[in-house]
Amino acid sequence: VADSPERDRRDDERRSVARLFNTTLIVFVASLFLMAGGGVLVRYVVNDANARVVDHWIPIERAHGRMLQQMTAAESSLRGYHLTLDRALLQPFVDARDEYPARAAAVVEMIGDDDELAAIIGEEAAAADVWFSEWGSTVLASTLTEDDPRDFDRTTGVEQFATMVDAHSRATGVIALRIDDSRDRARFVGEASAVVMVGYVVAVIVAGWLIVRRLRREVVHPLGELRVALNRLERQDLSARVDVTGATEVRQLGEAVNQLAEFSQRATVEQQARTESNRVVRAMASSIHEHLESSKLVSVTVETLGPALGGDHAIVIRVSPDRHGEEVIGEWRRHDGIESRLGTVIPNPDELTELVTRTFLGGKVVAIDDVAGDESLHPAVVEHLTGLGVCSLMLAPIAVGDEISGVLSVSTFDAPRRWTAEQQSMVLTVGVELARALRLADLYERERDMVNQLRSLDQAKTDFISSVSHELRTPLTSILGYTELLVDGDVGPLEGNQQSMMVVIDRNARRLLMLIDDLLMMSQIDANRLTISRTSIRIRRLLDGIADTMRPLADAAGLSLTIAPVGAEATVWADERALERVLLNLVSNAIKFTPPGGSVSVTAEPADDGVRVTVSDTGVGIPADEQDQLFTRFFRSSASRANAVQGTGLGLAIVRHIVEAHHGTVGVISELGHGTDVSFMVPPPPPSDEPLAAGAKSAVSLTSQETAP
Amino acid sequence: MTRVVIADDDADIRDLVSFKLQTAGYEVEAYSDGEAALAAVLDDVPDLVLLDVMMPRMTGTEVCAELRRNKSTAEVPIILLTARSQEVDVEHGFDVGADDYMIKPFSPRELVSRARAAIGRSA
Repeated sequence: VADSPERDRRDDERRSVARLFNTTLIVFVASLFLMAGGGVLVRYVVNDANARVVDHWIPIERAHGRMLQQMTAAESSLRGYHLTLDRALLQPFVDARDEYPARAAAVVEMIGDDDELAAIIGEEAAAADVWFSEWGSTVLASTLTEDDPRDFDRTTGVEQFATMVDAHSRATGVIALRIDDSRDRARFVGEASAVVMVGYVVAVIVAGWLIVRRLRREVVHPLGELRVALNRLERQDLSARVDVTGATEVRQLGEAVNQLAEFSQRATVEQQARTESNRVVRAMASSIHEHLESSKLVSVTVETLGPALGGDHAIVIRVSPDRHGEEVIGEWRRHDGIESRLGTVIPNPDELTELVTRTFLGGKVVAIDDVAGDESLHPAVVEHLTGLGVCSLMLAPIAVGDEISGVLSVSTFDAPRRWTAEQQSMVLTVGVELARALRLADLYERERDMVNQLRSLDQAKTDFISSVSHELRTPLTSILGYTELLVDGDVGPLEGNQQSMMVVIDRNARRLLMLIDDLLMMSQIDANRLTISRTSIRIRRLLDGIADTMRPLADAAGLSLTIAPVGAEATVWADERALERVLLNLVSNAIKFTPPGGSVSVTAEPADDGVRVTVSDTGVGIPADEQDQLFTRFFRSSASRANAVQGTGLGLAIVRHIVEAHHGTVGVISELGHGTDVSFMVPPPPPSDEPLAAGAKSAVSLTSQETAP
Repeated sequence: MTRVVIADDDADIRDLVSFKLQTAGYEVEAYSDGEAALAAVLDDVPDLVLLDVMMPRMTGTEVCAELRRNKSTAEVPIILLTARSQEVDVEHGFDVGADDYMIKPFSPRELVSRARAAIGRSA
């Protein structure tokens, strides 16, 4: 096993592209050198062989030939003398006898280390020496002895000479043989080198083919695969992988590409997981924020978060700021087999709240993958949790900033679980969202309580005003009733000032009644309780009634009250009592703000969209900058304050409410010091409605008019 | 003699109405609560019944409804007196069978003329 990486490394080196190229280069450079060297060597060998023939054997052959020439000349000279006895003919013989040994020695010298040839030449020279010393000497001696050499038996001489010639022939044969040898060798080297060259070229071609084949297998093919894989990756097909084959570098490239693809795929999967978890968190956050009740919020959170994280149990633990009593206030269980802990208080020994505290103070997620195997936990905590059946859990603070209101816990009961970073961030985010929603819910609850409180206070006020105004009516009934009895003389005639004093009582009691009615009506308008019930009303009858009621007031104020004549049939569609209230308020206002001697008049004229009623006076008038606020409740004009005119500031506000409830309009025209015209428009009855027809009634709620969109 | 039964928990108003009606020539029986008035009317049916709405034990509208359910008193003229001026109260009064209503404070003079009209209609 240990040498396996070593073997791999060697294998890598062996199969590397660089090595392949190196090898190829070396092969070709070497073959070039070999070819060049071989050529030079062949040339040298051939040249050498030829040179040896020319420089060595040809001179030897010549010198050897001259040896025989000289011997032949010596024999001719000796034979000539022998035949003619002419001494002069002996000269060549003498020259040969003197020169021949040196000549032979020179030839032997030239031969060098060819012992066989040297031996034959030696034999030739020895035979020549025998011929010279025996036959030659015999013949030569005759010149001194006077013997007739013609008597001499020539046979010996011929034989001796023939021995020499024979040796010469043999030597000549050997020399020719040597020359042939050299020539053969040169020729052989030439031919052999041609054959070697052809074989070499073939070998180089084969080597080149092998290299190409290997390149194809080790580099070209794997690179093609690589390109295909890269194209697939480019088209987002992240499952594409390269078959790691070929040369080392190509394999490394393939592995790099595979790692890249692996990484991209993992990153994509993680990205998808992150996107999914973001989506879940967003959906969860929006469903959390749909609720404004804290108990509902808590239950929605655990019911969504628990399944989303694949947990078995999710709870919300409320942590009070003083860290006393950590209660489970929300719970989700995957099945009923899990014991409910809703409403239980976490046991308070320190080691058991340690986890909660850790989350609480750390402000981070505490994720415990395996409760039983987690050594960072206090043994008592492990015992407590495993006792409950918890295998793994995650705790996150329910916090916004530093304000922590609780802890969110998700746990599994079946097996340990590795909580991923996404899941941890999800539970943390949900904790933050829950904290926000809880804070909102808290604010909302407080506000709702306050609104309810205000509403019941307002109701109490309205009820109070309503009941007070009713209670005040009963004594007023007696006051006005008995006053009327006295004024009418039912109990006998009144004397002197008694009559006028009774009228003052009556007038003030009626004023009190109007104030009470204003208060009651305003409180009804405020409480959205004022209803108007419309009928066809003959405007003339209504104005006559107003005149009757208001004339005593006008008389008392020293004013003339004029009701302009109206067409008998002019009708409006209105609530009689409400419209009466409008006219009473306007006329009493006019009377109040007009100095004695002035006049107040009421006119009614038919218009396109109903009847326009105008109350005019010759009073103090209203400054232009106050006219806008005139119909606002509790507004009191500068004139009313300056002239100490009594009033509540409700009259015109009620007028506006009632007129608008009738879909009418109200306006004011006033000139300071000259008087005021207040006019309002009331619509006519519906076309089908007969004036004064029985049952021609329609109840309209003022409030619905005002609040309807 | 024309007999009128009135019911009001306020003694002063009872006296006022009694006085005015007696002056106008009616025989008046006055009661301070609804129950007593109901018993009196059922015991001897009068020509007119005047009922205050807000009374102890039985309200005017309850007495009115009860009288209309009873055969012998189904036709007796009834006028309601109310301190409540809201239309709903008035409508409710008509619903339970009242012939007329008057809102407090009312003019005794007008009460007599309404009473006369109501008796006249039923006669």
